[in-house]
Amino acid sequence: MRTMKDKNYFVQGAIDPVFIGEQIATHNSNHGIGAHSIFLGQVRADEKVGKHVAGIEYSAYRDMANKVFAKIREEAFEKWPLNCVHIFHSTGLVKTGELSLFVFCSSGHRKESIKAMEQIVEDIKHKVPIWKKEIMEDESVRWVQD
Amino acid sequence: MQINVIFFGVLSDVVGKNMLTIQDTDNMTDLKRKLITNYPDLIDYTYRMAVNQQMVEDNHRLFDNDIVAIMPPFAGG
Repeated sequence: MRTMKDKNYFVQGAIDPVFIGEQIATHNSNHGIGAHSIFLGQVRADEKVGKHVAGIEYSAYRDMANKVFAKIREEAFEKWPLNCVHIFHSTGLVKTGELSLFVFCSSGHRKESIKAMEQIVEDIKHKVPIWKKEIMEDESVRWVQD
Repeated sequence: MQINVIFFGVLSDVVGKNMLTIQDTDNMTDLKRKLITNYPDLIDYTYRMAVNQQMVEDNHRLFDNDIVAIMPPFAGG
C-alpha cells in the first residue's frame, strides 16, 4: 500500500535537541513567519509498582501511521493559515529524559500556530497507531494501555 | 478467500505472533469470532481494527487478501 509519495515521520531513537535547533534555524529565510509553536514530548520516569521507568520502546503500524500523520497535517493547513508544520516521532528505544515527539508549527501570527499546535498534538495522541512499552530499571517491561 | 491479520502492541504478545492468515471469512464480526476461538485471551483486551490501513467497525465486509490490523488503544507521543 505504500506509495513513493508517502513521507516518513519517524526518527529512530530519541530526537536530538541539536536537531530541533537546526530545524528552527532553517526557517530564518521565511520572512512571512511571525510565530513558531513547538511541542516536545519527553519520556517521564514514572513509578509503577515500586519501579521507575528507564525508557520507552515505541512501535508503530508505520505505513498507516505515516498516512495518518500526513492527514493530520493536511487538516491543520485547511483549518488555519499556517506557513509550515513539521512532525517527528520516535520509534525504538527512548530513554527517560529524552525526547520522543517534536511538532513544529509556524504561522504569520501567534494565535494560529498555538491553536493548530494543540489540535495536532491531540490528533497525534488519539489517531496515530503507535504503542509504548515501558522498560523499567530492572529491565522488566510493561505495555502502556492508556 | 484468505485474510491476512497483523497484530500490534500488547496483542502480538497475547497471540504470540505478529501475523497470521484466516481462511473463509467475509466480514469483521466473523473474523473476530474466529480469532477469539483460536486465541481466547484476546477477549480480555480492547482493540480497534483497520482494513488496508483504514479504520473500520465490526460489520465491515472483507475481500480476498485484505490486510486486517488488530490494534490496542493508541499511545503515541
